[in-house]
Amino acid sequence: MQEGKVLPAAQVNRDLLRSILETPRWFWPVVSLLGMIVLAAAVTIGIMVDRGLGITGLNYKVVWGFFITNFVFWIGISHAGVMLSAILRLAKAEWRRPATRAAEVLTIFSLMTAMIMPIIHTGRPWRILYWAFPYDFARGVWPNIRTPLVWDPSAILTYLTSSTLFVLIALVPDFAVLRDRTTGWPKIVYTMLAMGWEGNPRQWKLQIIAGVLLSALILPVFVSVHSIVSWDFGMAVAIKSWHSTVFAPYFVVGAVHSGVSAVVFAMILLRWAYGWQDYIRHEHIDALGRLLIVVATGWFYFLVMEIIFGIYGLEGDELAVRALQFLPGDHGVAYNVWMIVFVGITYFLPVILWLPKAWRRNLWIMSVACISVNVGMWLERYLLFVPGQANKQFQTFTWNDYLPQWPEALIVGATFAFVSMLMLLFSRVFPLVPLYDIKEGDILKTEMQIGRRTVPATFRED
Amino acid sequence: MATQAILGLFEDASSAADAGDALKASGVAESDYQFLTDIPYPEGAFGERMERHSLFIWTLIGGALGIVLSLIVAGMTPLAVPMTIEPKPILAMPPLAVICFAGAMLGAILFTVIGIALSLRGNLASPHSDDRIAIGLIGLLVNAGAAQAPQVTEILNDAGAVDVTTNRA
Repeated sequence: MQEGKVLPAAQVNRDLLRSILETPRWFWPVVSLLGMIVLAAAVTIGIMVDRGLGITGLNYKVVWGFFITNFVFWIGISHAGVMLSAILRLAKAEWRRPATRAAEVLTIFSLMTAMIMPIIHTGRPWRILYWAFPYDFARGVWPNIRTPLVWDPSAILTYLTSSTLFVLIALVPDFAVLRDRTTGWPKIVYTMLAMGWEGNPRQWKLQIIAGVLLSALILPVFVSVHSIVSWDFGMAVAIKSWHSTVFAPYFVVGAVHSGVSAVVFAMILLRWAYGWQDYIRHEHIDALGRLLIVVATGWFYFLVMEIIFGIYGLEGDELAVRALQFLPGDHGVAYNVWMIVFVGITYFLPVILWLPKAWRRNLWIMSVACISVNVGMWLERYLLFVPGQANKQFQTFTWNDYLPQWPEALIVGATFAFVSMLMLLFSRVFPLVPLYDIKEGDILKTEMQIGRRTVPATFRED
Repeated sequence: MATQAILGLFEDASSAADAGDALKASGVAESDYQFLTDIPYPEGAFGERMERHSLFIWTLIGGALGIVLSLIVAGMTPLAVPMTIEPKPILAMPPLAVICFAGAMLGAILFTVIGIALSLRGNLASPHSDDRIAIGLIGLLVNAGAAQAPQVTEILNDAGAVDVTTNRA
């Protein structure tokens, strides 16, 4: 698993800092376009706050629609950072090096985006304060800590804070390189962020231990976050089809599936946009493709178990929801067709594309597979949440359906523009591929003779 | 007596380590010189002493504080304003466990990062740096008195430094 040539440190600096020290011609037009989409969504949110949630498709039965689906989707994407960075760092996997930073940064921005969704969904965003934080002594309004809807902000804020600090600590040596290459106010900012970094053995030791320690600490947080998000549904009293004990691991594995796919696609885009062919190589995409086959199959197991457990109890409410999901009916929305599409594009299509080595190394095919997974995973959440609410009770006269309206579609679509814009802006001020990690990998690279073959090898301290 | 910061730059780790040994042999205290690199070299690669740290203590203190604070917030809230939903207890263990776990992890991570920031002992005002270290050269920075400076410069040159620069510290 070592391809590509060893590059001189000067070239690594030049190539990986180019996105910061020079502005590509496409940069500001693309950022402006994405910014306009985000602005349109912000105006729509303003209209929604002014006129109320009545302009959405939400109704008295289906109260969690596009916004909550999108919230869970972005929480899922955020799991890529820790999966790739912390686990692979602890496992000392050499091929992690170019992928970690982009994955960690994607975690931060997708978490920020996810947190915005329930705030928009409330319709009266300022009231979140009363529900989530125990602060209002004068009015006696206190949050009910027995509900997962209060556990959620505590877990997600912990994860966001941890991920941000994790990225900042990993960036310190790169800040020092930037400090020495910039002038004016950027130099002042990088000097502060570099915390007096000189690169002596003590600082490097602390940097490495900090990476391992923070990885070990952040991993349980990563598991807890999506487990708690799953309990938002699993513990909802009113909707029986959500009462599934398999939800927590099912959500966590699903999050890793969509998150790692998103990172692969982001890496392919970055490679293309910044010309990082020497750093994000086919071998890295290949390794991630193999990892994704395992993750996807794990996720598929939980999907099947969730359906089987649901049907096995033969409870009327549960069977009604399953019928809605799987059988053709006279509903306005053909959920059964969407279920087939969702399973096909989330598991079968991508796994078939990931199996041959040549296809894993084809960036076009990998892009299609990764986009397919994420469209599918978005659909998965939608098909998990909406039919359950539409057929909340066994009595058919209480059934209702949900048809999303334009404000929801626009706001959800704009979240993709928002995350892309933030990633681009980040790449303009901080290196998206860690300089010292790449250089360390090059230094550790070597080759050894085994019989008549020369094979790549890596020296490690321990 | 004024001290000078003498920086010798080496192309490979062995020459830098030899220079370190020569400095030690000439009576320069280990605390007066340090190696500067752009990547983490294996500990002891330059013959330097093993560094000790107390990061884990920061982590433990942060975790403990996090648990205590979240217990206070999550425990006192329902006790102060009880919301009775029969037959559920006012002070339920599962929510306390979930919130205390998040609090413990947040505290541990925050304190670990504070510990790192303080333990780095970075030179915030004027960090020693040279562009050439970022392109792979290994720096050996020596704090020497005016009388010792010529000898240090000679040792660095003899060990194969590609350049030696001097700044008043």
